[in-house]
Parts: sequence; C-alpha cells; structure tokens
Amino acid sequence: MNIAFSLFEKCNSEAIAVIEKASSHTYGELQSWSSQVAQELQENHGVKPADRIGLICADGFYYIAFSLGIIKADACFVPIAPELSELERKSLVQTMHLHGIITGDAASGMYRYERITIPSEPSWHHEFASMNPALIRFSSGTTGESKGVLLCNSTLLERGMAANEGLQITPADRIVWVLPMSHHFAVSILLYLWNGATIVIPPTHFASDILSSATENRSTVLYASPFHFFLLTSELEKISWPDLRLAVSTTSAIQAEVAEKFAKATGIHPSQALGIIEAGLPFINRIEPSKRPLSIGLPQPAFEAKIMGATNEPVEPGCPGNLFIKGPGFFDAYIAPWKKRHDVLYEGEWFDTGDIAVKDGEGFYQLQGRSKSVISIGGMKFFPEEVEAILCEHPAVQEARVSTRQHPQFGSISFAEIVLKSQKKLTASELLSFCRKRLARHKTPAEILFVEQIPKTSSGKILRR
Amino acid sequence: MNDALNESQKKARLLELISNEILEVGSDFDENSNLHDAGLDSMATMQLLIKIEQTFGVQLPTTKLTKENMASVASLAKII
Repeated sequence: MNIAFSLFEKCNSEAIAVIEKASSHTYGELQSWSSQVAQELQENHGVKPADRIGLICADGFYYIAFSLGIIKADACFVPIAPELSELERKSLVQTMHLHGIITGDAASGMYRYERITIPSEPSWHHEFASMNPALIRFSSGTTGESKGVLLCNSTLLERGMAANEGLQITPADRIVWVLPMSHHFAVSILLYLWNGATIVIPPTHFASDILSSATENRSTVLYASPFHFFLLTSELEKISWPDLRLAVSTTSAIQAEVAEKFAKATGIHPSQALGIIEAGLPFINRIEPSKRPLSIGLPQPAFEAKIMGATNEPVEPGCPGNLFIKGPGFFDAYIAPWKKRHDVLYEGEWFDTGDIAVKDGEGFYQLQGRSKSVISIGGMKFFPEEVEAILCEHPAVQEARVSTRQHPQFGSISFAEIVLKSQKKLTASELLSFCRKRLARHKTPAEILFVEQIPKTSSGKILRR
Repeated sequence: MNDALNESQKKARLLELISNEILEVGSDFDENSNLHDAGLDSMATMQLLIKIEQTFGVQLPTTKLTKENMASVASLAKII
C-alpha cells in the first residue's frame, strides 16, 4: 500500500486541492506534479524503495507535490525544517542516513536534487525497508530520548482515519492553513487531501490576510496555534467568518481570554487538541468547548486514555498523574537509536505521553504540565537539554539551565540561566549570537540571565522549574 | 525608554535587531523593505515582538499587530 497512490486513486481530479495567493491547484495538478517528481527521482536520480529523501522547501502547493512525489517513488519522506541551523541540518542528514535531498522552490516548482553517498547502510536499514516506510519526523520525539519518528504507509492511513473521527473533514471543507508543513503533515495536510478537502494558504499569518482568505474561499476550518488566534484578535471588529464550523487550537494551551474573544466574534469556540508525533491526534475537545475551554476533551473514539501515578498505579478522577494513551496509527519505530514501537510502549500498547493530566468526573481531560522537560514555543517543540548542551559548548559557559516563563501575549517564552566559568566574561548578546549559528530560531532563548548557580536535585541533576 | 529615542533611532535599532537576530536579509535590506516578503512568519513575528519588548521596553497592544503596521521597519517604528 502506498498512501500517495491510494490518495490519488480515490480523489476527484477536478476538485481544488490547494489555494494560495491568487492561484488554485486541482487534485489532478497535484497528481501530475507529484508523479513527475517520483518519476524523475527514480529514473534520473536512482532513488530506490525505502531510500530516505529529505525535503527543504517553503510551504505551499509545491511543498505538498514534492512530499507526495517522494512517497510515490516508494521512498521515505524526511521533512527538513527550513529554520534548522546548518549544524542541525548536518546532524539530521547524518543520523537519519539520508540518501538524497530535494531543495525546492515554492514559487516555481523547480527543484535541485542532491544525492548523498552513504558508505554503508545503518544496521537497522533492512528492517526499516521491510516496513514500507513513508515519513520520518526528525525530532526528539515526545520523550526526548530518541531522534526520528518513523511512520509507515499503513500507519499514516490508520492515523488519519482515527483523527478524522473527530475532525469530520469532508470534500466540502476548506481549511485555512498557517502551521509549518515540516512540523505538521500526517494528521493535517495528508488527512485533508485523503478526505478530498481544500487547503487554503493565506499570504501571511496576520489577521487581515487570514480573514480575507477565509471569507473569499468560504473556509470552514481553522487549524492553528494559540499565537495565530492571538494575532487574529488584533482585528476583532473585522472578524466575520460565516462558514466557519470548526476552529482547532493545537500545540499548546490557548489563553482563555483569546479563545473567548475569538468565540464572541465568530460564534465558534476554539477546540483544544492534543497532537503527538508518536500517536497522531488522540484528543480534540469537540463537546461544548466553551464550557471547558482549557480541556482537551474526551479521547477520540478510536483511542483510550488513562492516568497513572509514578509507579504506574491507577489514579482517582480529579488527581493528577501521567497521561497514557492507546489507539491506532501509533508510530512504527524510533530511528536513532532504533527501537520498534512494541518495545517502547508500556505493556506493549500504552504510550506514555509525558504529559501530566487530570481526568474529571465526566471523563474530560485537562493537561497540567509535563513529566518530561519538553518546551513548546509558538507551536514548535524542543527539549531544554538540547539547548543547554549547545550553550555549554561556549568556552566561557560552565553550566546552563533553559526554562520557560509565561508571557501575557505569547504563552511561553524561553530563557537561559548561565553560570560562567571563573575569570570568564561574556555578554548576553555574544552568547545569543553563538546560539543562533547553532540552533533553529525557535530554540534560541529569548533571554539570558547570568546567575551564580543552577539549582540541582539531590542526585545532582538540573532542577526543572 | 522608547520616549527617549526619536523615530530614526528607533528605525536604526529595529534594522539592526531584525537583520542580526530575526531574519536572514541581504545587504540591500532597509527601512522600507517588505518584512512579509523577507520571511516574517508567525514564529519570527513572535520573536520580533519579544525583542521589541526587551529593547524598547514596550509591549505593543494587540490591536496594533496588523499586517500593515508590521510591513516594514518604517511602519513598525511608528507604533513603538
């Protein structure tokens, strides 16, 4: 089964797949472009089944065409986020053992293919190739211990079908898209196309463009981060969105005031969702989100959830604990180090989300924090340990701790506490410049604080806030 | 802090901040260059607003965060 082939077999080739700027593109065009890319990869560039092919391209119609082209060539699509630093990009290429990279031009559809010679295949390649791999998200996963989350073709399909039980996307839907495609693809872009919907990409992420894209195209769904909802409220008096049926806020908790303002203007209260790279979209708060604005809702029909204590004992409703979920479309493996799904899941079926949650008496879940240290800034997740390791590479830095603080407008922003080596001098500006060369922009701390010491646990680990 | 700076000083600070810390821009980037064309997406916008807060000591009100106001260094300097 190849998800890209199956998608085009069932689609209406005359229906509109993507609208961006002044142009619209049909499913037929998407099929034709992606087939051409697949053919060129195989015939001109020697791409073989299960080769891992990276993609660097700005979001838009051609991003989707390139990604589906890679999958159609039976290769495994590896998004390379444009904001990665050169060092991060090199690390991705090496740890994922990429066979090639497409660098695409989102305006013209032209691309350059760079073939990478791998001295020898990694030890896991044979098993990987046998799994019909489709997509690798190069992230530290939800737990921070492994790099690269593998999703196979059948997994993508299962995951999309499970997610759509809550989203209910149909060919009549037009989804306003503002999130980065290299971070969000499986239960969003692919799901929308699988269900024959239209993706509407506004020229910018500012309110006037989102609203005009929404009204001109009679958009029905908004899938965005809390910051996008915040920007929308800048032009509240202009918000008129008569066709909106579903607004989903994902990646981090939306501020109650922003949700309220948006709901008042549109009549639709944002539904909080919990999307997890390993698990898809297990939660979306579709049932009266206005009554429980901070809740992620009930588990979607295909999923089960439970909250367990520190030693995996059951926890009473109303008490916080670790959120575990079970359901279809879970990731197939971690790449580095190679670990198959079954060996990662608790009792072979439950995924530890790393979230601390509470379940109320009616079965609704609310997130309360993290048992793992992941940080989410503006919809992009990363681990503080990764940033601390880079900070400590600076010759003047003895120790570092990266944390977040609440910002009244943006939710969380990150800051770093730094202990300097004795006799060493360093300014915040110098250290930030050092970080910017080595880290993606969203991982670079917004603030640097020089401190005398970093608080530690009794076992000597950095004490997390 | 921002009251002490005139508009051209604000523009100079903004140009420095944007070209050094927020966007990858060429040497021809100036106060009238279009920030949206230069790649000011939502993440870059958030980071720019945090930097403005730190540099100028002001939190821009939500109603000022429009596409037009955020279109160039020149238009941005007017709302700080």
